[in-house]
Amino acid sequence: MALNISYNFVDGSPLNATQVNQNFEDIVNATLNANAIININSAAIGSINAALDIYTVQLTDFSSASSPTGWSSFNNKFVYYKKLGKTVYVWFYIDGTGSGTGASFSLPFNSSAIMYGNIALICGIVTNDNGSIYTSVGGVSQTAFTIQKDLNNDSFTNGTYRLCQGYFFYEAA
Amino acid sequence: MNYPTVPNVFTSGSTAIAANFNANYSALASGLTDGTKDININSLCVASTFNVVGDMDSLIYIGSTITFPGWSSFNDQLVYYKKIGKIYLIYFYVSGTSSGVSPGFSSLPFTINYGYGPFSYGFLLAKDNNGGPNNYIGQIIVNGSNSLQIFPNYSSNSYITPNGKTLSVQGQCVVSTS
Repeated sequence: MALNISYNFVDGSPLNATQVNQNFEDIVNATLNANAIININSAAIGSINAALDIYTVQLTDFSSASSPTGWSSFNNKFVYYKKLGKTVYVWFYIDGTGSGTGASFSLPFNSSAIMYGNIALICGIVTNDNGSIYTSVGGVSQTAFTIQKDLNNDSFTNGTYRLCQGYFFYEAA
Repeated sequence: MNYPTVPNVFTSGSTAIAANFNANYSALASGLTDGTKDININSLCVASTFNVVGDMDSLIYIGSTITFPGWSSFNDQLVYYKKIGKIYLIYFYVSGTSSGVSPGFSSLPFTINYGYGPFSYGFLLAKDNNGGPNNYIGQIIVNGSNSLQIFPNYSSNSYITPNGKTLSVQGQCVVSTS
C-alpha cells in the first residue's frame, strides 16, 4: 500500500484547516496504523514485533538448485534455507544410492571469506553409510557445503546406501 | 543517520504558502517510503512481514578481546559473533597447546541469560593428541553470565585434555541475552 496524501494545495487559495489536518492524519495513519508499506534505508530499533515473519529471503525450497553430489539416485532430496540479513539457515535431508566417496551440495549464497576453512566447520550432522550411522561434521567453502562421513573424514562407500542430514547457519558474502 | 526531514518551517504570523505545505507532506511521505532515509524508533510492531534487504547487524571479531581458559598458547583464536536482537550467533575456531584445565571462552562482551536450564548451546569438533590423534564431538554450555565452557568430548563430559597437548575446537553456538 502506498502512502497517499489526501490533499494537494493550490497556490493562492485559502488553506482549509480540515484538509491540513487530514494530510497530517494520513501520514500518521500510514506509519502507525499498518496502512502503508514503509521502505527505509536503515533503522535503529529498540524492539521489533512482527506478527507474521522477519526475513530477507523467506523459507525456500533449494532442493533442486542445491545439486547434491555423491549420489547416483535419490530416495529423498530436501534442502531448505531461510536468509535473515546475511545469516543463512540451512536444513537438509538427502539419501539414496551413493556415488563416489564424498558428499556435498551447493550453498544458496556464496559464503563470507571469514567462513572459509576452519571456522566454518559445522556439527550436528548425521550420516548413514551402508547401514553404519555416524555423528559427523560438514564444512563451508565459498560456494558449497561438504559433508564428512565421520569425524575421521573417512570415505563413503561407493554404490551403497548413503544418508546425510542436519542443519547449519553461516554468514553470506 | 539520515532521517526524513521537511524542507519548510513555517513562521508564526507569516502567510502560509500552499506549495510549501505540499512540499513538506511530499518530503515526509517519500522519506518513509523511498528507501533512502533512516529511522530511529523505540519499538516497532509489524502487522504483516518485516523484510530486511541488507543485514541485521555486523559480524564482530572478539578473538583478541576475550580470554581462553584451557590453552597456554595459541595458533588460532578465531571467534566471531553476530547479534540479532537478543540472539547471539557465535562462530569459532581455536587451536593451540592445552593447559590442563577445562577450556572455554570468558569475558564475552555480552551478558548471557542462562537461568532456564542446563542446555547445550552448541556442538563442536574437538581434536587433541592425548594418546591420539583424537576427534570428538564436544558441546558448549553456559557457565557464567559472560562465559562459555567447552566439553571437548560430549560422550564423556568430564574429559579435559591434559596439559601440554595440542587442542583445537571449532563450531557454532547460539545464546541469548536477557
